[in-house]
Amino acid sequence: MLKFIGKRLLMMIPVLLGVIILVFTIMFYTPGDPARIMLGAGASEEAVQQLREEKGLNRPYFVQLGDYIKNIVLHGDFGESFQTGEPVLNEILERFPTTLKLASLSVLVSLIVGLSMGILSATHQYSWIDKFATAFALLGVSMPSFWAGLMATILFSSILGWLPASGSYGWKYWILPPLVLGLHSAASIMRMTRSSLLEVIRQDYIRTARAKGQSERKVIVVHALRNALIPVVTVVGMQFGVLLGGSILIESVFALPGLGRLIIGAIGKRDRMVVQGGVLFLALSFSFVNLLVDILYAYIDPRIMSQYKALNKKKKKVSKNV
Amino acid sequence: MANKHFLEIKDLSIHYKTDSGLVKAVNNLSLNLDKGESLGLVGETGAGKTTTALGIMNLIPDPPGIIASGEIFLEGENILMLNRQEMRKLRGNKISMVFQDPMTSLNPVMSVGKQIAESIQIHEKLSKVEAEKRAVDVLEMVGIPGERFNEYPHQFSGGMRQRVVIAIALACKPDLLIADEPTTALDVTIQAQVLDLISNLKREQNTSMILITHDLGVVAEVCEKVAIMYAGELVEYGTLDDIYNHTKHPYSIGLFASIPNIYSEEKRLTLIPGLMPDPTDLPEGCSFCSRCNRAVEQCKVHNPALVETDPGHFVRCIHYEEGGAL
Ligand SMILES: Nc1ncnc2c1ncn2[C@@H]1O[C@H](COP(=O)(O)OP(=O)(O)OP(=O)(O)O)[C@@H](O)[C@H]1O
Ligand SMILES: [Mg+2]
Repeated sequence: MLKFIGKRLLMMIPVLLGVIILVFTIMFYTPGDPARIMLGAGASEEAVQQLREEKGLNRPYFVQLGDYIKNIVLHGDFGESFQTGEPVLNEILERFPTTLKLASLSVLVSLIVGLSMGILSATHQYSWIDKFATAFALLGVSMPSFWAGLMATILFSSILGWLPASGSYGWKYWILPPLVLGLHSAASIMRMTRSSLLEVIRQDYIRTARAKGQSERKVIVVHALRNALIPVVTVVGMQFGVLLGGSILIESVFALPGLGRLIIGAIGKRDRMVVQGGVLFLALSFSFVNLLVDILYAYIDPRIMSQYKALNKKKKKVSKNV
Repeated sequence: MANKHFLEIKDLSIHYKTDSGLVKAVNNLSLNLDKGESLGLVGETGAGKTTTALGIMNLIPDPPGIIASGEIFLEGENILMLNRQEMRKLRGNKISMVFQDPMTSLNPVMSVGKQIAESIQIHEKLSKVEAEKRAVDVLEMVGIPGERFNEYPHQFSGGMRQRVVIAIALACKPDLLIADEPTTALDVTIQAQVLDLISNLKREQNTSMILITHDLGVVAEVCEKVAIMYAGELVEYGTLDDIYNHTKHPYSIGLFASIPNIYSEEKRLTLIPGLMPDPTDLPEGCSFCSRCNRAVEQCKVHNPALVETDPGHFVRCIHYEEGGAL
């Protein structure tokens, strides 16, 4: 298992390298001169030129890219923000906890709502619960999260006045954003749980469990759920990526000081280093979640566990023969 | 009328409501079984054997299935009238079932030992540790080393999985064991072993058994009574001797003729021509009529009753009905 994890960690390197190159290239060729934007429209051409020189912005694409990667790999240095002059890493680390908190709370909401509604509608197929859940899911997937966020603020903040509309100054500020983001992904999780569970309930081994005299509740919880979980875990992992992406929008809607808002601000200012570092960080978190999902598979399904183990054994045999 | 048999099935009919129509899987089936007795339930594929078995377990998938009519008495009690909880107490405890397909009948994410211990824990007031200890014993009883308790179904061969399925069914020493083709998925040597295993356990625990199969040879080895099923109906039913040596129904005769016989001079097997009728559209008369070599005009419109020709030997055929065409 450890070997498997190690191998997966190594496989993350090319992915992250790809992300770096992609984002760097996009930012490099995005119109708009960072030096000009920083100094404002009124600044003289000489001043702008001087700033470019100072920040190394005049150098060719490959030199800048190589330099950027080299600094990250050798010194863990992600560069400095053009805007503030602060090391990018510091800015990211300062903002990242907020994003992580938002994403985690949202996953929690979506898991609780999605799983329980999925289970209920699968075990009560065609009942009113099932119909309600299906309607909810349809609403959930077809509503963009930022729009839902705006509607929620209008309703709960402007009209009802129950919850604050934006900012982060206490627990009250942390109710609407995770709810909006979480309910959105709950819809996908619910649909997957429902269909996967319905599929599993038809299997012969569920009949075997019933034939033992097991109670219906335990048949579902002990036998069906674990078998139904594999595709659900996949969806949850993917939803985490969607949530990270969605947090960029939701942070803006609710004015939360997270990584997403940092990136949006930096894009406007053509603050390349910050954008690159921020996106790299999001990609890194998503890769870790995917790794976690793959490890979870093995703990849910012993067949996958033996596959992982078999992979290692094959490797060993091959290296012995050589 | 007092119920004197251990198991009595009366006029059982089970239907499946499907898009292509009402599947009449079991029709007016009646049979009896005494304590310690074994009944072979024989019939070709789709005859309704598994459905009958699931009916006794009250595990017909609903939807689409319903028990349309009938009664099933176990020790004088109509088990179709029991509520869910009472029925659960019987399942796996007094009545157990060995399912047809061992490859899909075990939960892939639960160790085989736990799957056996589970039924012990449900029915006997034992702690988890004690139940698992008992499960190891049951596992060894069916010939699997106890060390393999913690392994998962995918680590076992088909024959071993079938043993595990049998172990689950036998874990609580049932009074009635329903074995649905327990050997069809296995090769011949393992087949014999599994049959031996079942009959030994049956003898030791005086369990009654319904053995479902299409193999008449297997029935002859294990059972005292035989019921031949065709298109959801019993067509002939009696002791092993009645059915094997005094075969009466044309379908049963056809079945025996289609068994390869090494002593016979004939090179080719006699097959019953044609197919079983569509269970959504059963004929008005005898359902075997279209394939029967003794069919007469009246068979098309008249479905004969099951009549007792000798004590305990029942046949459903116009030629044995009183006042029937002869
Ligand atoms: N869940 C179901 N839904 C609809 N029809 C069903 C269902 N289960 C069984 N049937 C139908 O009921 C009839 C009897 O099926 P059953 O499984 O009892 O046959 P069987 O005698 O056990 O056959 P086999 O020897 O192939 O196991 C068949 O026509 C089958 O198509
Ligand atoms: Mg069957």
